[in-house]
Amino acid sequence: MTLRRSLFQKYLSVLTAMICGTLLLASIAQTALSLREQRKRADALLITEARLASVQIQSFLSAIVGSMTWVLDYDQPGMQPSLAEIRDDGHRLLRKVPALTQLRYVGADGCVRLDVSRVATDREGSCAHLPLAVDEKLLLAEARRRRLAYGPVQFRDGSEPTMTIAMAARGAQGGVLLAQVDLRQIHATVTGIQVGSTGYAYIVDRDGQLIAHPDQIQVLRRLDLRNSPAVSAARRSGPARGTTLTRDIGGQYVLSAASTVTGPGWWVFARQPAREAFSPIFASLWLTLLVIVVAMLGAVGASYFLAQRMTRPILAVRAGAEKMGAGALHTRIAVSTGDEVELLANEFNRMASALGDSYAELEDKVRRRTHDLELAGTLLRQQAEQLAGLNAELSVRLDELAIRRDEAERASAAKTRFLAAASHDLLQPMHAVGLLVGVLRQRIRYPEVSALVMKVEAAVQGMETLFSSLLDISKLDSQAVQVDLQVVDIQKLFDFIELNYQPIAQEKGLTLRIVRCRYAVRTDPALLERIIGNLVSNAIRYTERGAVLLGCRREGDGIRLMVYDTGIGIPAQFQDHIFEEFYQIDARGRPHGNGLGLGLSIVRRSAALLGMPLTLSSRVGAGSAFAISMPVVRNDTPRAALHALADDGRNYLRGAFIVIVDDDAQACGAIEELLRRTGCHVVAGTSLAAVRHALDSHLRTPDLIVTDMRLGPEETGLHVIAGLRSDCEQEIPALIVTGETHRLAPQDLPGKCQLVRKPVGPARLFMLCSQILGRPSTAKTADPALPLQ
Amino acid sequence: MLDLQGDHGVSQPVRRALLAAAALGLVAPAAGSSPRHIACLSSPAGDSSTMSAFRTGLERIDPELAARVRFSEAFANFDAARLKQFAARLNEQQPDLILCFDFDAAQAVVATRGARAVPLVFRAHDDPLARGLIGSYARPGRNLTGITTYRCLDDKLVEIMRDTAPSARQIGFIHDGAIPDSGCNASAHDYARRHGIALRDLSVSTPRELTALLDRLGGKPVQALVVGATAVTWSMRKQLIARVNELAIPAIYEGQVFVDDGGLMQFSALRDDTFDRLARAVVHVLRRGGAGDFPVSQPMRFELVINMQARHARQYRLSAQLLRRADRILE
Repeated sequence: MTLRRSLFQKYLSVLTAMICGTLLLASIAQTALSLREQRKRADALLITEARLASVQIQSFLSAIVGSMTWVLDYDQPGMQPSLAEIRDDGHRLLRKVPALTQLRYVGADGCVRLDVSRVATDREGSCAHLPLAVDEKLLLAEARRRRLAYGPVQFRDGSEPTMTIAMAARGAQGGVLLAQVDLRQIHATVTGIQVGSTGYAYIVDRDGQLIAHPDQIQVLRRLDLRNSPAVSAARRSGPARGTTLTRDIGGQYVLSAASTVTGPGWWVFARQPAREAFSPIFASLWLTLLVIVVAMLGAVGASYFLAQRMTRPILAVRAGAEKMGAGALHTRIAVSTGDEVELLANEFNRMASALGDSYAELEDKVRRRTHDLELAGTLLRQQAEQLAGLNAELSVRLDELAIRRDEAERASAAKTRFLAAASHDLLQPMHAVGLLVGVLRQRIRYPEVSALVMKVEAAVQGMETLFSSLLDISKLDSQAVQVDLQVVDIQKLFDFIELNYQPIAQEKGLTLRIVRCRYAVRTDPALLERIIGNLVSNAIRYTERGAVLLGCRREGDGIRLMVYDTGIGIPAQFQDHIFEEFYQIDARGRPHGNGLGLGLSIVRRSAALLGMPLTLSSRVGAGSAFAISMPVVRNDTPRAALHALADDGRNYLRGAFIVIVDDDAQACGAIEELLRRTGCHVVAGTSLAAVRHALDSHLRTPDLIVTDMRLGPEETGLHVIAGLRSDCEQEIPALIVTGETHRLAPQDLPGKCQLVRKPVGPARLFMLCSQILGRPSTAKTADPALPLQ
Repeated sequence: MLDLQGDHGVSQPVRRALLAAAALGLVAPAAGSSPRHIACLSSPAGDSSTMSAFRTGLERIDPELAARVRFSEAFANFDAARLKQFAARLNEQQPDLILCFDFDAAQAVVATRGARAVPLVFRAHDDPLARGLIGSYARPGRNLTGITTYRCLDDKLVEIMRDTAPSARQIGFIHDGAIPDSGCNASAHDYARRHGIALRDLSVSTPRELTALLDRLGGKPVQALVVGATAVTWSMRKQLIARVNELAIPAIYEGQVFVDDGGLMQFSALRDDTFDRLARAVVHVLRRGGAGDFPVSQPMRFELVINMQARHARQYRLSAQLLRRADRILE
């Protein structure tokens, strides 16, 4: 056997897959958790940076606000503030706090009393001289409410951001200090805020205008960042707890976090390139990947080592087993793993040892048996020689037997051929004798002669029956009978049997009881009619008292037709012989030579031909029962018609114009005489030419043509029918009477034509002619009858 | 989305590494690493300190760019015709950038521009918006940008001088009357009038005029002096300070250089970041272009400096309030 995959490869792949898979899954899970945690950390760090930046901006403003209190120290409750002192301290404040560019002191009446500026001239005066803008008045009012208020960011010259801070004095009637802050001074603070190594912070005011950025040029451009993703997100949802990941104009991802500056309501954004913000994550990922790769390499190595350790003893066992299998039973497997493999090796060793012993013992036995066999062989050779002699003798006998069998078969065939050939030649005169006796009986006027003629007629009928049976046997044996399967209504068959055999039974004082049967079967109606007729006839013949019963019984998909009688019964030892030809038993149940003894032979041959099992049960003195089984068909299947026997119909033939053609002049004359006596007008001849000649003097078209089949070397009944029909230009009904044994297929016959086999007695002739002519009622013969055999 | 990265996107170590790699030839010279030509133009005579200060600022802001910049300089020596001639020639030469160190030079370059405007960066002690050089400070346009050290300080200077010498009723104001006044000098006169001071207009536009003024200054009843920063006063400051000290007249100047050269006091924008701002504008234009979109920056911090080492400084009996206002006192 070829290894599809070695054990080592299996172990290696399984162990590697298990270890690597576990490592991979664990690493993925741990990495996912770690990434999540580190992302949170990065977000938290950036948020913290933003808050820290916010605190720094807050500190920047707090320093300004804190310094403003110096100036307001001159405005104490109940005291008139000194403008000169305020101015002096204002200038000091402007010097100390470079971000301040202008200070205005507003008295309790809401008028600017003093304006101290870094670059503009100082001014003192009344409300009219130093007016306040509307938004400054609002800021003033807010400062009086809250003590401190931050104005909106404004851009001087459209470029430089400034803001006004208003601070109220402590007293309720005190003044308010308005300080203008140059927000460009925040630049140093913003630049000092470092977010990571490359990140930075920037500030937008409450309206989304950029007011501080490490690149001050951006501020001077007065950029509106309201629509930037980070600013709009912060303005929309307030100080974000998380971060915003966006892309800058260079396509670089940046992470932003926002925090508010309380007071002015600014937003401080800490912004860091995502690559840097997530650098710990990337580092962690690379480290994890490295660890996974190293671990997997280690896993592969460990798997290799383990697989080798596991398979080495197994391979040793396999090698040892191969050697043992090759016959080296002295081989011993050396495995010392201390586990099941070692036990297996020991078992192999033990088995090899036992096999070695058995092998030695077997060799000894083989030697002894070989010796015995040699002796037996010698004896066998002697017996074989004797057997060969017997075989030669048997072959001679078998050859003789074959010769005998061939002779028997040839004899049987010769018999069959003889019967077939003889039947025609015998039937032809028999047919003529029967017809002539019928003519004779019609002419007899004297009763004593009539009785004698009737005996002659009975003897002729016996001969006809004998010949007919012999012919049937001959045809069945020579396989000349072709089965014509049709659907047959059993009840019609029974009616036919009752019609034919009831008179015979009554004549013998027996009761013929027919039980109704509603089934139909597919079979050859003529053969089945012959089987049942012979069985009923046989039952009547061998029953002296009592009754004969004919019936059917359903058995599964078929039926069984049964003929019971209360006759003499058949002894068991004769039951196998009664189906043989010419075998009969007497009233005491013994064989005798009277009668034909062909009925049951025909029954058995016909049943065998139809494939119907035939059974017999009989008890001596009690009677016999014959049964034949066959399958049934559905009731709605079209049925074949059976010819019903009626009277001979001679009365209905009166006046019919019938043409007779038969090359046997005697038979021709007898038929002509019979039909004339029934009142028919008959034209008879031995050939077509003869009847044509006779018909020349007739104006009437014949009603029926009765012709023999074989009329001469080159003429048949078919020629006669065709010729006369052609002459008369009508399809004249025809009856062909033939002594031929071969059967003519129905499709070979012309229309309105029937074929009957000789001998045909007068009664049957009258009946057939009457049926063909459709009398007494033509309506009953609208459908042609089946061709008779 | 707005790119808020700016120049801060490249860290200093990375920049140094890039420079080193470029120096060693490890980095192939790209389109942006070719030599650049900056043509400098000044209305007055040559001043090495100005050029040196600018180069220092440029090297600090962008050393890599500074290393491959070639400078050419042109000085008109207050000759307006020559200035225009230089400006036209520079426009024809099509350098990478024209750098003007004063407003007149910038105006001359703009006036002589051809179809293809060379980017212009200027330093001006004038209000470029009021004088129509730029469209706005945030977006100057016209492919030019720059910085201004100007702030209308005329009235403030008069105010400080009033605080310095409260008894002075005749104060002279030296300035350049040829420069159109956008109201700044008028406000000084207005202030003086409101406070009972006769502010005498001592306008000089040429060195000769200044020399003549200094000659006749002793004969005028001027008790204090305010000296504005003009091209003439700037270039002749030493003669001016010497003459003022000689006359023992308290004077306030507009510019640190005047105090450095012995003047009593000055009030002006801080000069420290001037050249840094100028260098940043130049770097931006050379690196990214779009001069017209780069904001013109204005001075942010102002400084009052009192030079107690100046001649006669102690005789002027400066008030404590004034001394407290001073950002620096040089002793």
